[in-house]
Amino acid sequence: MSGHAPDLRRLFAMLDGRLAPPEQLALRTHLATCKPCTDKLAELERTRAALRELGARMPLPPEEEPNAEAKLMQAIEKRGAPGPRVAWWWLPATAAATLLLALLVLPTLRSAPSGEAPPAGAAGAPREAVEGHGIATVLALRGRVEEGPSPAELHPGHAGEELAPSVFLRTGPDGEVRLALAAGGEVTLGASSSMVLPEEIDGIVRLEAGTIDVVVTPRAEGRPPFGVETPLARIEAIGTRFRVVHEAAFTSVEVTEGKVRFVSLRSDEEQLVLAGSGARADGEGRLAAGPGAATTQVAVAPPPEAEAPGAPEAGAGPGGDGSLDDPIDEQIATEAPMQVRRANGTIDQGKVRARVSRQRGALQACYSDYVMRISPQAVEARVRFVVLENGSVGEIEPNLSVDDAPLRQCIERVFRAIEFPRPRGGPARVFYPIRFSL
Amino acid sequence: MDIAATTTWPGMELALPANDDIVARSQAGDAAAFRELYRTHRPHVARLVQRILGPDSEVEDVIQEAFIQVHRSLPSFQGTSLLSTWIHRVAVNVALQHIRRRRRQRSGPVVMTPDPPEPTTGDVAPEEDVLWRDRMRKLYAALEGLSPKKRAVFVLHEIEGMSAEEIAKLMRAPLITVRTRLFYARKALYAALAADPAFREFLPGGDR
Repeated sequence: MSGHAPDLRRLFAMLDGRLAPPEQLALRTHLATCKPCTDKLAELERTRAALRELGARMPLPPEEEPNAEAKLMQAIEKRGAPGPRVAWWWLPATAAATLLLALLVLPTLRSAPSGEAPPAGAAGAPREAVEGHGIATVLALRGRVEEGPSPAELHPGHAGEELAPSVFLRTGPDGEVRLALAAGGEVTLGASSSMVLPEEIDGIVRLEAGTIDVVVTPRAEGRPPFGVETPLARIEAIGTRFRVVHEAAFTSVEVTEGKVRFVSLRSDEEQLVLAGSGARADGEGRLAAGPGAATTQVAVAPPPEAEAPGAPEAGAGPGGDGSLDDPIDEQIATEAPMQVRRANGTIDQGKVRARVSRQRGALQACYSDYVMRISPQAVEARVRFVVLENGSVGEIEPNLSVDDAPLRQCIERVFRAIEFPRPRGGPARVFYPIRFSL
Repeated sequence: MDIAATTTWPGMELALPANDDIVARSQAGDAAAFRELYRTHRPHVARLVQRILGPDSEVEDVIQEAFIQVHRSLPSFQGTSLLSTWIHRVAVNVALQHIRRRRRQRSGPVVMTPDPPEPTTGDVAPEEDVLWRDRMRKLYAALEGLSPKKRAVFVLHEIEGMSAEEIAKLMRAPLITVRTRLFYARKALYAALAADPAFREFLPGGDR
């Protein structure tokens, strides 16, 4: 009898009929002498049969309510006709005009006391967004700003647009969007960031990645404090102005006015953070005092072997919490801030990021292959490379948190296949950290 | 009987001769055209949403939200996917977003799920009926332990009988990613279900 643990991948492949005949034969031969494997296969077969039977007995989908169609059409009418959407190329040309228009509206909105911001609701009671009114209004935007029900279904945002509860917003490397919240106050989502709007008027804003600047006025007694939540921490405002940065490894806050309550969601530890100071929560739930990383806009912890301080041009990057529920993307949970170092030349980091992002699927495939071969653990890749004057990749060094040559080679191949923008003033060195998780 | 094989998964394109026309008219704001699109696709969207969410009192709301999003996103539909695949993708995304929201609203680990609706077969003996409901509840309670994306892949493959290739197309993800998610979802779920007496005693040959 064999004492080894059954190879689940092969057993599932067999169950699905995905094994090639020679592999199947080899496995069958092995099964004849491996009781644990035979038992496991029988267990998998039974469980699969149970699931299929369960699937067949699933309740029928709900019958359409008699007035469902009418209600849908009514809801659609309220939200407005689809209408032609603005194409991306249109935005830069009119961004200035859009911004100006929005700024003209701003003073009116700002002057409205928060308690009176539409739609009003009883203090202390959960307030639902009133149909026809959004949870927030886009005051101004520039660059690439997308919004939609989920990261997969986004469309360009517009100044003046009312946003529904739970809408997902994402900005590009050149993007920024300022919102007036129906509950009062303003939030500005910085470049390369993403957030989810609250589900109800007094709900919490969820920062998925990047930077958010908040200006809120004191809430009426009995109403919950304004809050921002990241995968690592929750920040409750007590009449204040503050900035929250969330990246893979930490969430930080920097308070300009008033104070906030800063709670680690991992440890429930909390502390009050006063104006002029900051705090930071890491993935282990530890809280630390001190200014947040916000002031520098370099929102990533330097890698242990960080290069000597140069003149990093950095921007907050599209990131993620690395959690399984990260709605931002599939497996590249973090495309952390990128630092473009001036070795000889300089390069447009937004374009670098865009070119790498286009290869997201290929990078995912590299990681998926690793996961299937080795383990489902998260992997950090710190890719340093040089972009030559013709836009091709010269020297490249993908430094991984795991020792796996095929993954390193795969990532290198993907980067080498990218045609980068041509750097100015000679070859440019780029540092591009990526975090993969399942 | 191989039940999965008899399940008609409508993920692939339906015979809709006037598809392009309906899309174009809907995109132009023609309410009648959108109603037609809704009537055609609602049954499949409803099924998909219900399977992914499991027992959830808001299934109807999620279906409606899915169609609102379809309407809203129609201008961005370029025809690079089949219309039905695209609509189902929107529906899956809306359902996943609902799950994330639901999880955020709950504090602490989820151990309770609402009672599932009545099973489809009306002629099941009451005790058996109770068993099935129990299994269904346990399945969806176990699914709460998966990330939404793994949950979707698991349900589409194991319950709906879709192939990994079809799921990859539907979710617009690399095939290897779908397979990876499926593997780890199965590994976790099969272990949980196999350890459950309600499932162990399920079939002849199972441990009693």
